[in-house]
Amino acid sequence: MPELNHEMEVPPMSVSPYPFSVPPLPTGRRCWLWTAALVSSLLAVPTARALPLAEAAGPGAAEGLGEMFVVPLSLPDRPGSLAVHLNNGSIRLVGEDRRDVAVEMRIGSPLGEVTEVPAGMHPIATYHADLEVTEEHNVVMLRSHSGRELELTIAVPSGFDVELRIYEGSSAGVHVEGLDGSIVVRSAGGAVVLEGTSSSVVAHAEDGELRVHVRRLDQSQPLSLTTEDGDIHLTLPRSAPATASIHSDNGHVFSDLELVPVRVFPRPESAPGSGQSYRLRLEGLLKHEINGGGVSLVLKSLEGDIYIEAGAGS
Amino acid sequence: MNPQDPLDRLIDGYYNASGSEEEEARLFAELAASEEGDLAPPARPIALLAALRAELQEARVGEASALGALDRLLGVAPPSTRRASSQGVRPSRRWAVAAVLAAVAFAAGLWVGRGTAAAPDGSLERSGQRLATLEGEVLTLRRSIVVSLLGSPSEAAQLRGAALARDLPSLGPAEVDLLTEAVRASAGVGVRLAALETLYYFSADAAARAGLEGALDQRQPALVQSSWVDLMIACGHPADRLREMAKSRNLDDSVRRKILSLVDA
Repeated sequence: MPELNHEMEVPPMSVSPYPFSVPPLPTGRRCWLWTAALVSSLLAVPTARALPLAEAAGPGAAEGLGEMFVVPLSLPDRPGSLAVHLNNGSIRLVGEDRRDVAVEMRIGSPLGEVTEVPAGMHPIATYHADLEVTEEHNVVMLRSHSGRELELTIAVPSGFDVELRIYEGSSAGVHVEGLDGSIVVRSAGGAVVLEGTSSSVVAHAEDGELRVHVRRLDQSQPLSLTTEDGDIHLTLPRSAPATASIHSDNGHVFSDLELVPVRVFPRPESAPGSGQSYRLRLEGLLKHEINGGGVSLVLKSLEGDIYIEAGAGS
Repeated sequence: MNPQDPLDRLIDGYYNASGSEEEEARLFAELAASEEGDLAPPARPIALLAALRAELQEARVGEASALGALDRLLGVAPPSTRRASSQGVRPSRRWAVAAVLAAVAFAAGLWVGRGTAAAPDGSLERSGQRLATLEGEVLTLRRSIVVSLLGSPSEAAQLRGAALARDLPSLGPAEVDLLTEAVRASAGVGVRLAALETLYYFSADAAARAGLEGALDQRQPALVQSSWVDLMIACGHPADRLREMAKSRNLDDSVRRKILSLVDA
């Protein structure tokens, strides 16, 4: 079971540091597993990093100690997928021309939630969290059971399919760009931003807005974008055909594209004229055709507004 | 779905009508090479299509080259080739050649067509049967794809399966079961919504209708519950039963209010 280098300090997360210079950890050929027990214990952390509460409230508070590592793939020339399940935190994922998966992991709030500070004392940052990493036949899984807020920056081959889940709220949310594979996202809090997608998207944001910019609308890859409280912003290539199911219970829908409403009625079991009669009701499901209709889009929200904009692309 | 798999890419092209002929021909060749001698049942119609496609392309090549030669002789080839091929050929000679070719073609036609009317060999009937068989197998293939996608653990695949199912002429028991299961248990809210819409689309069928009506037997995200209410109203669900449904403990409060406001409006 290899140990991670706990002494290494990583640059701030906001700047993408890829490609990494960190050598890959030794692994088995077909399947390997290590639990990255990042127990940088309180005593092991240099005292100079102990952050006063005032600093924790500022931008520097998020700059805790972190780790970078590279997950080699069993079949570097073949397609693969990545799944990330976080209890709490944020994910920034970049698709690149590479043949492995690089991960930078940081503690989001080293101080935790301090409600009361004893007189004459200040809170000390702690840096313990865990991240379970597995890889088998190009299926990479990152899973954290910790309640600590983790910030993950991940670089994957651009053709990877990804599934990202955050079970508790975070203001940072999810940001994905440069990916050609399918994207599945479910975020309990924070915004979900997907830049330049070209394949299937199934995204659900419970408490934040959802922004998706489609670079190329593949006619065989449907999209589903749903929120509970947040707005949905979808940017489609101006000439891309689609058929959208759009609805917000308590919000509005806006677009600079021409959306033609069509009603979808239940399909009769067999063709009329065979002696049966059919009642077609006027209350059929309403859909909207864009550029004559095409691939299926589902845009639904309970409380948010929905924006559909024309952009560049095909 | 593996984007590298020629079968998947062919299916994509089929549903999108997006693949070029060259791309399809290449994928067919790749598929034939990879599955030669060991065809799984879903691949069989593809192989049949591949064989037909190859025959058709051979015929086209022959037709194109013969017509091209005639065009070049007559000087009516496309502008890019006409200049080179028609130089030095006088119009009177072109017409003479055309007349000879027409006479030869007429004679050949008489020779080939002799006895056809008198003794039909049933080839048209056989072709029709073959086509019907092929259509049946393609439908079976499409159903297999839908079932495979809906049964996949991937939400992206499930979403695709729910969308493709709407192109089927009807839903079979397997499709209804999988769509109902997707509504109840898929990890993706979007998949549940898409599966609901597909069941609604086929709600004239009793099994699909039952799957749609039973979707709220268990706790669902508020967004799914809200869409379910919209769809049930769209397909004429009785107001009394909706009112009864509003008493369910599984229902989100906002959806309960929505039901009551809609049915009592």
